Amino acid sequence: MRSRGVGDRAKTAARALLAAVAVALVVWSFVRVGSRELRRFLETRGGIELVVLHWSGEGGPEEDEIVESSLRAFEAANPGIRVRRINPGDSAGFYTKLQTMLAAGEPPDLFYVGSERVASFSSLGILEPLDDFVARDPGTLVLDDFWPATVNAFRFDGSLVGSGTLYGIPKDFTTVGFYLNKDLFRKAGLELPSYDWTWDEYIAIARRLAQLDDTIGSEFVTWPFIVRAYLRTEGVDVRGASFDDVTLRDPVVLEALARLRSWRHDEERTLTSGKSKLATGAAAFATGRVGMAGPFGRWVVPEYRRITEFDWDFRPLPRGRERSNIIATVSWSMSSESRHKAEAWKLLRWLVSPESQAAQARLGLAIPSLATVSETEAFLDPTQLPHSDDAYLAPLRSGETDVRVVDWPADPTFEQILGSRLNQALLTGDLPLDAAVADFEAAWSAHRNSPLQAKDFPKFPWRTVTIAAVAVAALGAIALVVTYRRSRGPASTRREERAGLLMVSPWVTGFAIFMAVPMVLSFLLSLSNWQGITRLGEAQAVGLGNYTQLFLHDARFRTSLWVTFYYVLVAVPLGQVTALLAATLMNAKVRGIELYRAVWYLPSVLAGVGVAVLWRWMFDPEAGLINAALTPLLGLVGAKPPEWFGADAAAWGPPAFAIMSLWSVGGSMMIYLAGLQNVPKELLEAADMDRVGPVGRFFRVTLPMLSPVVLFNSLMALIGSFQVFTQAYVMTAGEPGDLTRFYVLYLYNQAFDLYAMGYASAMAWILLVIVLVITVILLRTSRGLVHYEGLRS
Amino acid sequence: MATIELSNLSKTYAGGVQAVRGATFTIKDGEFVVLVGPSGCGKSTLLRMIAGLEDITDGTLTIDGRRMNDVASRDRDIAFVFQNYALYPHLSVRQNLAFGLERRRAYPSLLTSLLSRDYRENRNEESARILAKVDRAAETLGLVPYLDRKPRELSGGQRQRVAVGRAIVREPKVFLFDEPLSNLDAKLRVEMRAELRELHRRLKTTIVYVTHDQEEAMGLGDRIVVLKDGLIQQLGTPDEVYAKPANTFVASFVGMPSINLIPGRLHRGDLVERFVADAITIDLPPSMSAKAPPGPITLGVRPDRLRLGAAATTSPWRGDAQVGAVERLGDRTDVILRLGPHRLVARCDPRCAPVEGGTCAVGIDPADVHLFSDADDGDRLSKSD
Repeated sequence: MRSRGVGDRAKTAARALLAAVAVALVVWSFVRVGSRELRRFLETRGGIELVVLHWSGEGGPEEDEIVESSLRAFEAANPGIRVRRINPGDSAGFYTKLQTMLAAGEPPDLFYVGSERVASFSSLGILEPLDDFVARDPGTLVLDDFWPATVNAFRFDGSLVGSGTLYGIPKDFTTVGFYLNKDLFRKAGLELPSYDWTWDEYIAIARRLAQLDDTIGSEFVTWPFIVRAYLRTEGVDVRGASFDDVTLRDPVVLEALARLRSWRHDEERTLTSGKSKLATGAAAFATGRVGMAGPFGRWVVPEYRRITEFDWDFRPLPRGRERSNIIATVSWSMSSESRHKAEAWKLLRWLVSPESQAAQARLGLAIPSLATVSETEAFLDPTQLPHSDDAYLAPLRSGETDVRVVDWPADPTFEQILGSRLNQALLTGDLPLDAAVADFEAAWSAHRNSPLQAKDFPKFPWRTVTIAAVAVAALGAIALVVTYRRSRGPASTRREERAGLLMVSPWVTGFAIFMAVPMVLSFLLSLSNWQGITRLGEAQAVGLGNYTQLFLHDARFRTSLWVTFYYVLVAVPLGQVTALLAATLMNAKVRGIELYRAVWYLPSVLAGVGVAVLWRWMFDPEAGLINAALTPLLGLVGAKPPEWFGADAAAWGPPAFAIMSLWSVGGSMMIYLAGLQNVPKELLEAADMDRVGPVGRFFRVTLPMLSPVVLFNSLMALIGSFQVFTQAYVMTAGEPGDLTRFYVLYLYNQAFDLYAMGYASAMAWILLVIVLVITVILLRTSRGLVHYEGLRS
Repeated sequence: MATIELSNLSKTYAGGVQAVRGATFTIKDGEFVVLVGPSGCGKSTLLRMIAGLEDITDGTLTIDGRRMNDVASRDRDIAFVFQNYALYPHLSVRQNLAFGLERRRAYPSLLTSLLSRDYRENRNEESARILAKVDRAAETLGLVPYLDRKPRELSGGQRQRVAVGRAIVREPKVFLFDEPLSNLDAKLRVEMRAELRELHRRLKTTIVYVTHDQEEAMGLGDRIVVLKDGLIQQLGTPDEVYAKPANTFVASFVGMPSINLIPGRLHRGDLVERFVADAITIDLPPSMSAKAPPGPITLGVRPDRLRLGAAATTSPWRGDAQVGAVERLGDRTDVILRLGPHRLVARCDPRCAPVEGGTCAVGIDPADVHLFSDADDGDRLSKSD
């Protein structure tokens, strides 16, 4: 008895010790995080903290450092103001971060805004108008010191960019043109063109360069704003007086687009093919095999300065019927919800000061928006390439050239649809021009005419809904407690139950807060019109408007649904067959089989983005491994491998993703392997004695035994396949057109590119219902085929 | 119907473990032979070698004079009944029974039957034959009401019958049973035992049967093969094995309760030979221990041969033992006795059972004893005839 007492005491002590350690860990982590916040609070007490959000994409770590040192200098000059800097990396990460900060009601005081977003951001009321600050501050920030086009790029009058209220001070800008490989020009016996060259000269040069060995005349990117820049040189644009007046059917527009398309697709090697997605246009030039590349702005210069193999220079955009160029510019803008606007303005002035601009200009990345600074050696640095720095300024200096920013309407859908259709028509050439134009017009008008575009919806009744939700939750909780009380058994059972509930409580709490609440919220949002970039309170109640728009009017929704279904139909059977085959192989009793299993399993633990980038290379129609292997094989039967994500994307795009998904069958394979090893050996022996061969044994014995595993794996694969995102986002971004725009990718586009969070929530719920229905159907119909008795208990 | 000859059959696994060592014996046509022994004795391996489910490392196996070492199991014309029945869970009882026949069709091709009329007629005829065989087997085994059920809807005994049925419809030369009754409860096991015996009497097919249960082995086998550590310990009819166990292992393995083994010494006098142990001295007839040298020896006496109480009075040797536990089993009573350092088990008539805690006279008749050498698994020293 005594020894048992000692044992019990030791056990109690150990338990107490463990509890103490656990409590200490929890307390320590709270104290640690809390003290960090407290320290920050204490440090800014009595002072002011400003938050600055920016990116450093092409500028790299140098841009990061320049902003940092500029901010520290500001802090030194302005005691009492602290500046916290957030840099999420490139511009895409930047905008996502900005969106979440805005939605959380914690916007940064100052942030970059690309000129293309001015209309949408200011329409959403995110940006603080700056005219008053400028007016109150005569002498320190004089708008006339800036290149006028750069300032006008941040003016918006409610419908068009270019005039009206000022929403940002340009920090830098660029015009666009072509980068020329001087070595290739010399080889071809060509002189560099003048700053005032024409498209005829341009294409003649491209054709001459294309005749050199292993050389392509020119890279010509077809981003929407570049296409509009190109159209403006012919005196036309995609819009008339407003964006309600789309002028794509203008004969001059069509002619100009047809010419560009013909250069690329009717001539060999005059322009880069556009099939290859391997490199961005800018990187193609660096290979030295492309005579000209553009139209790019100044942003490629830091990258091109690293080129050591050849000499290069820059020329502005050629002219057509008109002399025209565009500017692309980024501003420092202020949040309309900034709590320290006066201080923020002070900092903004500092950030666009001549000193800051000169420092940025030295990076080569951009041109100072202050005219005087752009004329100094900070920008016109004769020691660095390109020699013709003044070529960037030439269009601005000449009074004859029309230089304006490329403006976009407040609704980003316009640019997205236009971009994807132009891409299909001009770059990959999969779509005839008139079809692309018709496509665009249909999609844009469907979007414009959507009842969701009406502005007179009532505010979403958050208060009522919240009270109702809380009431329902409370009633549910009470019901649970009551049922629990009623059903309580003897004391020992109750103790056990209490302990059990205590054990699962962290999970239940986590689920309630991080899963249940967001789910309910997303359902509510699906009944609302919310941009996801404004406060939740701004949401409008649209009833089932999102759902009716999706089902009745949104052709892109239907396309994305089809693309996803097509993928599922290919990927799930293919993946399961492969996994099962692999598992059968891995079930062999061979020396070192564990190694093979690990090798097969490994890819499925690799991270998504890296894998996607790798596979983009694999599927490249011109340089990819897959087509390089297929070409000689298919050549035997006179066929050519498909252009997976190009002209053949309608048929081969989703299957390409399915093929890629085979790389990660390792997880399913492991489950199959476990299932295979559970198949009773005697059954296979019995079948063997019954004269069933190895193949027959597989189909007549193993497969029925494995059927529950097959069902489980198939369901999991099915659910996973409906959620394809990363691969498509990284590899094709949904292109060409919408041919690889998977459901979840489209959902993401709606939520984060087009600021339609309500619409995206509705899509999420539709997906949930689709997957649920398919799962139920599968479970019901498979009953006769699945033999659970095969599983050993 | 087949004769199976095993000649020096051995099995060595990759790790060097010798599961079966030089098994040599012949199973006569139509004979019911039971391989019995504790787990790990190699009995299942031996059966699986006969079945062709295990490769033969050494020695030869012939069935009806044909060497079978390299013949695939499917071509040996044998049927195997597995311990866990190995029924196809996704097939009905009827399909399970027909499975082996379907696979052995002379006219298997459905396609050809569509094209050729003769073929079709032959095939249909064959189908009818298969159905008839299945029905007959089902009737024999009382499975008719369950023909359309899946195995999971059957009781253990019914599954067992299906497994047997699947074997008999094939009408093979040899049946091989691998512990087929061990998953059944005790009562059912006894019932099935009788049925199997009956089946064998009717079919007259050669049967090799593996079990770890000596009672099952004794009850079923025409002859039994006792195995230990891969070696055959004894081969004989149940009576022979019981009456004249080849060594102490067989002696104690066969028979329930187990035989009493008493270590002692053998003294050889001029006229008599005498077994001496603590508290026990038995004079033995000289003929009995002809082979035995004087010295340490083990004496065995089966519990039912120990004479208790009044019955002991006529025994040449008797002593007084203390009575430990008394187990009344209805038709008989088992008594645990303490005699000096020895613990003895006796089986007696319930009417003359002693009282727990008392003393009791116990007698041993020299005619009832077995002598073994005192080594582990000591060999039998008594004359074998």
